[in-house]
Amino acid sequence: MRIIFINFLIFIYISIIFGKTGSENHRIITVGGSVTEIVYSLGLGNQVVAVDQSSTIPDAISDLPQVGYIRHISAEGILSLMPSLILTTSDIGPDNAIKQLKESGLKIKIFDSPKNYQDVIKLVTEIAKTLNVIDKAYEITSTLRRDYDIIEKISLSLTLPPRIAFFMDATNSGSFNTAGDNTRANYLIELIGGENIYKHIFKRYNKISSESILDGNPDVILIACMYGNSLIENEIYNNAIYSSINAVKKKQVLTIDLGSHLTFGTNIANAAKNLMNLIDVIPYESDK
Amino acid sequence: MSQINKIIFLIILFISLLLSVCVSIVSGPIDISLNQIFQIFIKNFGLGNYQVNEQNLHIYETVLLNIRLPRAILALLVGMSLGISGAMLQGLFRNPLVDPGFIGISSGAALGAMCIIMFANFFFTNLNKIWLPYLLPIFAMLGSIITTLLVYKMATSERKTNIMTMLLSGIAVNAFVGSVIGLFVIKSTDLQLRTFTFWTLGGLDNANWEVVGISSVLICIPILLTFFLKDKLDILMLGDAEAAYLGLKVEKLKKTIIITASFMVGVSVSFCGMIGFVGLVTPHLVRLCIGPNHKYLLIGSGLLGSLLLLIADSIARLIIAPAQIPISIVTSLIGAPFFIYLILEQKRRYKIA
Repeated sequence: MRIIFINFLIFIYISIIFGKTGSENHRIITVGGSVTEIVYSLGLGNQVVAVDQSSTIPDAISDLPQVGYIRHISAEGILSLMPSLILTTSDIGPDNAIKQLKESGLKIKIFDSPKNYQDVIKLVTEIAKTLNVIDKAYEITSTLRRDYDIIEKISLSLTLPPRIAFFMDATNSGSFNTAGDNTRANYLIELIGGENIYKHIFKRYNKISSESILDGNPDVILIACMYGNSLIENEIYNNAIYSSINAVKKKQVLTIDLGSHLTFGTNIANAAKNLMNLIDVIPYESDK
Repeated sequence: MSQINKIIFLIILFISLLLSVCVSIVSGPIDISLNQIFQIFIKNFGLGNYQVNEQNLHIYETVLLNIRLPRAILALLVGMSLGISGAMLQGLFRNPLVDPGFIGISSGAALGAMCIIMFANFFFTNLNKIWLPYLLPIFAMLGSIITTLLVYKMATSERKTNIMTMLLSGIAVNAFVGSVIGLFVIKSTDLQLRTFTFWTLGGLDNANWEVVGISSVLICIPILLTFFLKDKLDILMLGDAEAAYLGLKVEKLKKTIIITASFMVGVSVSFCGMIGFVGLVTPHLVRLCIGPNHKYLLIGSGLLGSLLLLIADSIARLIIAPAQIPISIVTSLIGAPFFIYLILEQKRRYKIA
């Protein structure tokens, strides 16, 4: 009996060791929100040993060490985590740190930062090729493509696109940063068939006065928040100067989570669907 | 304080500087044992032929020789240039509150850097990629030279430079340049803004052997020059008129000081961004210890500047490893309270006396 038990223990021990070496091919550091999200979606989160500050989703990364902001990484800091692979986007810096990392013989894969839905699909495929999980990537990309068709169908069916303004959360600061053209927020608004009222006014994010919010009179105001609930909705609803805005009248001042909407990874489909659900003018049914 | 004590003070500074160089080479987010460090040095400087077959030794070698060593040397050079130029400018202005930033050096460099961060991709699309890393230092350098000359010209009339006017025009130019940068900030993207913010907070991340080579030439030449100025600086402390009666060519001296100091700081700022407080506090500390004689003050400020920057850089690299914090945060966070303590201490001592 004892021998059987010991054998059993040895078996478990061996299977743990082999199980571990089987899945743990890499020690990956992902630098950049999109890359991190995609690596986790590909089911390889267990190989990630550290992320950067711009990676905010999924929740699983909150326990991992952070190597700093993507533009300001420390070469020795990254090397100290003994990674075997670094996955990142072209935003990474400073150049000297990248040079030093390459000199140390470390493998670094630098992808283009995704700007739209098609880029995300491309990025998923590229990362999957690097990590050798093409089957899983095929599964993800076909779901993404199917979702895209649904989203496109609904957005094209809208006769009157809702006029949307996108702000960054700025509780208590009194003025908002609004998304203009060439921003991810603008892309997301257009993806769901909306019209970004600041598209032709600003080229990127820009400060905006409350007077020009009144002037723009958006049907929907989206506010991206860093951490869950924000008081900003009430701040706008209770502020008398905003009472004439359509979005306030229709109770369409909506806070959304910054990380899960503006990190362009495999979550982009859910981000778009979620927005369509939140905005009443677009009835979204997932079955259609 | 007697001459011997002053020399002893300088020797102590020098020894602690050597020690802190060793500490900053030995310490880092990666644990490299002393034994391994010796092996790597022996192997790379042809002192012997150790057969080391450790798996990570290649990484350690890169870390030691291409990351830590150039970084320590750059910290030495930059700290020295900040300390010495601070001492020179405080002597020139006869005002212990002067910092190299006062006459527009740092803000000019910031403007130059911001221009490149904003417009590099716009103007230099056809430029060879190899040149891109040098554009920022070159433009920062140009910016600092142009603003300093501007401030100098404004304060000079009939071939005489009024130091008070220079200080005032320096403040005005700083404010003006600051708001021009603000205009750029409004138009910048997120990444550009973050890059600029990090640049203004300084850091020695740019350290590699090329940068060390270039900056050692550009910093050491003006430093050697300053040691010919030490007696003249002492005379200048008496006042413009008195110095002129003693046969000193005051205007020429002022020009030389401003050019050498702004050049040194310009080089440092262009490679390492803005590093606060070292230029202001270092000459003060040295003056508190060994008095205002420039013969010792300049050397002491140079040594102490290097020492402070090395310690600050070690802290910046280690405290939130694997990430790092910008060095200016460390220098000011530690420097400012220490400085306040010293001032209070000095005040108390004079009250008793």
